Amino acid sequence: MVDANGGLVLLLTEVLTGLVVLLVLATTVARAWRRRRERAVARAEAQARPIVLAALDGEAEAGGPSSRLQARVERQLEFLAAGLAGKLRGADRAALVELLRRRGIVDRARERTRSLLARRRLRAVEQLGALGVAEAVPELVARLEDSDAEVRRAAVRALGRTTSPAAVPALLALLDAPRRTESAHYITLALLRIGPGAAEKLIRALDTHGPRGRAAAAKVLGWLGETSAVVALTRALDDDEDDVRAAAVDALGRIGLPTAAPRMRELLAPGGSASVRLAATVALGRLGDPASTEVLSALLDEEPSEHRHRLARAAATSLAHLGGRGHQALRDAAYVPEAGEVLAGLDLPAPEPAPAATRATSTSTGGRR
Amino acid sequence: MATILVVDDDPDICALLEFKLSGGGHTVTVEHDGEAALAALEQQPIDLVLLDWMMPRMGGLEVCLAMRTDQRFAHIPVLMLTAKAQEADVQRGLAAGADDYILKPFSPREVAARIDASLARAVR
Repeated sequence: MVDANGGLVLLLTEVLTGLVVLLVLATTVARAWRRRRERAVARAEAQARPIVLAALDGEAEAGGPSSRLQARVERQLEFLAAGLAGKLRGADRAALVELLRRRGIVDRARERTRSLLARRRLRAVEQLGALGVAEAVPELVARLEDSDAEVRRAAVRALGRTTSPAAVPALLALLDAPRRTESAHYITLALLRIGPGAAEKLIRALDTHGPRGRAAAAKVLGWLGETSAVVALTRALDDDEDDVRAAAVDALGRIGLPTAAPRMRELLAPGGSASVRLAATVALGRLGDPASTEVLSALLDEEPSEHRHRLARAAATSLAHLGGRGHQALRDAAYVPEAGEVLAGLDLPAPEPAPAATRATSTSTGGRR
Repeated sequence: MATILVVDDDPDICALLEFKLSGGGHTVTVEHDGEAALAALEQQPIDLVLLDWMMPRMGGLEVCLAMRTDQRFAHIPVLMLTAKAQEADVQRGLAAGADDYILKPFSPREVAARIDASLARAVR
């Protein structure tokens, strides 16, 4: 019995010793392999870096633009140039993108957007976004319908970064897609990132796209301050959808042409859509026309309703933007909590004491309440 | 030409700036954190510091404040090169004593031009 136990202990000890030796060997080999790999990467990086830096100075690559490099060097060049391009702007960024284009790296990234692996598709889409290459718009648009949500989100961002107007219709259509999962806010931001080049397509979209697309188009035109959109936006004030009308009102307020003020004042009529009235209230403050003082003051005295507080708060803020007449209207309505709050924040100097005759008149007629 | 201290924890940005600025005839010293930057200032004469804000150990803002409160380094122009783009950040950077504030992503050509302008002002 003792012998059998002793044999078992001996066997276990031998097995354990063997395992420890194997573990030490495996660790040593892995370490050596890692060190070798790191040295190879460092060597590849040392070869790739001068090519990338020379491209910034507009120097031709040694051996011509299509000279073959070892696969590892090519990978490092891609990694370095694409990484740097995302950190730069201006002519140096353009030079790096051109280098990647010449070496076929942009085309390879476009192909990788069709990879079977979601991870590879995501990396390719992010890379094309970081480089902002307009020729990749068709591949990026195709990825808006990717089976992977992360890839779809990256495609939205990347389309914005291309700054290509060709991306506008697809982004607007995505907003109106029945089973969209991407946030409308991010899609709208991507449209904004495209910049003034998107204006023409956004103006056209006000007549052609679905309600969410039309509303986003109006919003972005306003953020861009696109004066060429004023006629189309004014037409959109008669749109069937409240959201589109509210977005058009907001946009006209941001663009800031004073000629829009009379129409905005009409939209404040009681009984209209709450979102449109709220947008018009804010817009009138942006337009800064003192002739809006009376309609805005009237909003402070509206009957209690679900939207009264927001409307009164917006009206008080807009009055604050109208200068002397607006400030006086706020003083006159200081008994309304929203007006009092805005007035306190303005920290205005005390009003001039009224002449005796005026004071007598005002005493005899009393206040508004 | 001048000796420029580039301080950034991103080695790719440092390599790029070193390449660009040395191509323009400047001597470039590179450090990757704030403490090393202050040590470099002690060791050699520096004409201008190009400083990232967010770095390990000691940030760029602290380096700038330390330089401005030390008679030996208070006169050296400091250019902040940072991704901190909020209005309040720019104000903080300039209030800490930075002479210029450049946002990332940046144009290396613009950085080189701003450095030359700062150096010319410093000479005047």
